[in-house]
Amino acid sequence: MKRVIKLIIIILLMNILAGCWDRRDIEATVPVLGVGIDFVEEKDRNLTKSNKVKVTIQVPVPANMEQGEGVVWIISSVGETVAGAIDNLQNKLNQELFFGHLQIIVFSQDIAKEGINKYLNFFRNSAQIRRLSWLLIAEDKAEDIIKSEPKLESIQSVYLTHMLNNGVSTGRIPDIRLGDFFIRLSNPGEQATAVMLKADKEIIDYIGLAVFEGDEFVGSLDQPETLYYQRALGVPNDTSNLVLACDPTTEIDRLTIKMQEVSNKLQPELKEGKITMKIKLKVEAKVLEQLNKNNLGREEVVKQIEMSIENKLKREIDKVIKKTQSKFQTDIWGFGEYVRAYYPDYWNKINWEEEFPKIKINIEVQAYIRQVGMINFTGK
Amino acid sequence: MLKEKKPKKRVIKIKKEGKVTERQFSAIIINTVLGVGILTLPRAAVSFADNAGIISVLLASLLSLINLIIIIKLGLRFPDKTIFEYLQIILGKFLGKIIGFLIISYWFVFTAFVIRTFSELIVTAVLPKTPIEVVIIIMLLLVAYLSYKDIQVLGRVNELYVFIVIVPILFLTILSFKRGHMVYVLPVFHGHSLINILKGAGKSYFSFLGFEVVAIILPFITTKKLSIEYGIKGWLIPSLLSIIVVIASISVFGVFELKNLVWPTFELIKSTQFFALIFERLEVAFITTWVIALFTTASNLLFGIAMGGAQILNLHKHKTLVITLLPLLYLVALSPRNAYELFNLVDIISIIGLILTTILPIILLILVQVRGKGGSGVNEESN
Repeated sequence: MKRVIKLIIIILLMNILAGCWDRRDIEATVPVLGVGIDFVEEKDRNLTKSNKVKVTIQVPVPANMEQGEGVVWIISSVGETVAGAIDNLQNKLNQELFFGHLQIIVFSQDIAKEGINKYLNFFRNSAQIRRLSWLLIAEDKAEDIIKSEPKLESIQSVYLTHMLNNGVSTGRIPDIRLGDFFIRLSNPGEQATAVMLKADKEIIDYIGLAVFEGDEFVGSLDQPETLYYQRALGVPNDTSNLVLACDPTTEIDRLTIKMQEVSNKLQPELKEGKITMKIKLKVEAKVLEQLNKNNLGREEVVKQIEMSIENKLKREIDKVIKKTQSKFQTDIWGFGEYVRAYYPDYWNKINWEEEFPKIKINIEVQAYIRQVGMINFTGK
Repeated sequence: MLKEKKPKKRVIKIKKEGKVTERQFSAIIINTVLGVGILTLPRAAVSFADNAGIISVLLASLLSLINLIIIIKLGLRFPDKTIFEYLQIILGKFLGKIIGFLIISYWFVFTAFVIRTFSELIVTAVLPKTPIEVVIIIMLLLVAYLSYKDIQVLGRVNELYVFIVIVPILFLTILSFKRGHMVYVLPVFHGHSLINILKGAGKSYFSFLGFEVVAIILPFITTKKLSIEYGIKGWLIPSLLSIIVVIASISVFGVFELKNLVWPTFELIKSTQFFALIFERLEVAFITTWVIALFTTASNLLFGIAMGGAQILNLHKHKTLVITLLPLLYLVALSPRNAYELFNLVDIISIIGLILTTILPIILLILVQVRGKGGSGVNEESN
């Protein structure tokens, strides 16, 4: 008798403890890899009155994996809100949408201009979304990025994440994920940025950095400007290079330099109620090519090259900072956080958004040439 | 040969039934303190004093150390009695029982809310379709199963699980520093009013509560002389862990984002990446190990409740109460309507806990000193 009771209890427990409520077979879910969010176009809007947002999603089609064609399926739907549009999407699908594998979230520039926060709320509130997903801004339509089909990888979202991750590890693309975007939105001392992309049918192109004021898109830095932005924040650079122009006053010809190690130190200084931001950069560079002349063996030439690297970096970084100060008037550098950290009393008195365009920037660059490559320069 | 065997047997026999070793004693403290508090601690810490939240957490942990030592000192006056027994000696039978009942009610609500909070996290983060009632029931059954056992079993289970609880969270938190910015942590010492810091400390104190369970474990420890030393050891680990978690959270999220996050520690682990693509969703692994932390917290407290209740009601065994209290525990756990109401109630409970653990032991210790009741401490021990 006792055994029978025990057996019954075990069988009953098996039913409860298996967690059947949340059992979800992998076949029974539609994993979303990428989401693109656009405004509904004016001419279409008349048809669907209150509908404002168009959500385009990318889902993999497992059955087509082997053939390598038609591996992803793009579907879109409209709705009043993001969640509403996703709900409408569900009407068109046989299984439930699952956002746990979401890699990229793309917003069109138009949406970003209106203020991105209200459209991000769905992603922020959902426990499925990871903070390490990418938040991207499309130069034109978000749909185009989700739809484009690069050649090397059959699933486009995977291609795009690899591209972005490699860009980050080589210092080409700023490492600003969804979570970082949220943090920058919350922090009073820095403004949000996001990676900007452009796409046509086959090629996705990284074109720079979207600059926000609050949650509103105000403009963008182009790709070279982003490179200097990255260097100023101390991110080393593995791939893209700095080309120094030929300088008639010295013995340097056109040079291509690679900045292997970059370290920075940001130090705000408060004098007479004004902030001076000191940026100290240490750059370790390598000469990749020099046209015409073989004079790298001479120490004074190396000194001259170092000098010109320093000047060029100083000039360019200063230009980018000036641009953010005058054109956008938003602190995408996070200088405000340093002011908050080092001068809390002063910080409480001021409004950083008004103060940032007025601060002085003092850039110091120290460059070292460590490697000159394989050619033995004779020192002529 | 035969003669040598005998004393060996005796050594084993000294650890008679119903005893916990010193290591188990600290393990019980660690596991009781490490519960649900640390999951929301970073938000609680910065809620009033922004960056000085680190100081708030330090203050809260120091206060818990002081209280812990006072409770142990008090307990050592009555080496073989639990708090519910010596309350009756110090304050008289009637008042002692009432105060004892107060402590039990506080532990009871505390346990219920701890279980509810964690179930809330599980339901929002891992099992969205499972009714929260089911999660609570399963958790309660598991907790009751351990509380139903003897103190010795409790000690062993705690000793066994302590590393399973500590290692993952420590590891994951240290990994998360990779995405941190030290500038977010500053300024720690500037521009925050003392009142806000103290308020933050009061709110952070919730995650250090649970150490008061020593009041009921103390009579079972084998070597009473070592109880303070091992008590401090038991205090040290959760405190260090809490401070590391708070610093990591602030350095990753910054103070202002932290205030927006319902489950900061969980989000911290969610945004940690380990070997890029191999281990991406670490939070699931974390929740699985944290179930154990919660299970031990609730079991130890429920054991304390049942034990104390039995001593107040003059029952022979604590086991009777464990089963009878379960339905009530379930109802209390379900009573808050949603997570926000729950957090408000948790704040109230933590204030009650602050008062009970800070003021009561000191008053008792003074009374004992004045009236000269109880032994003068360790010397009295007759083992």
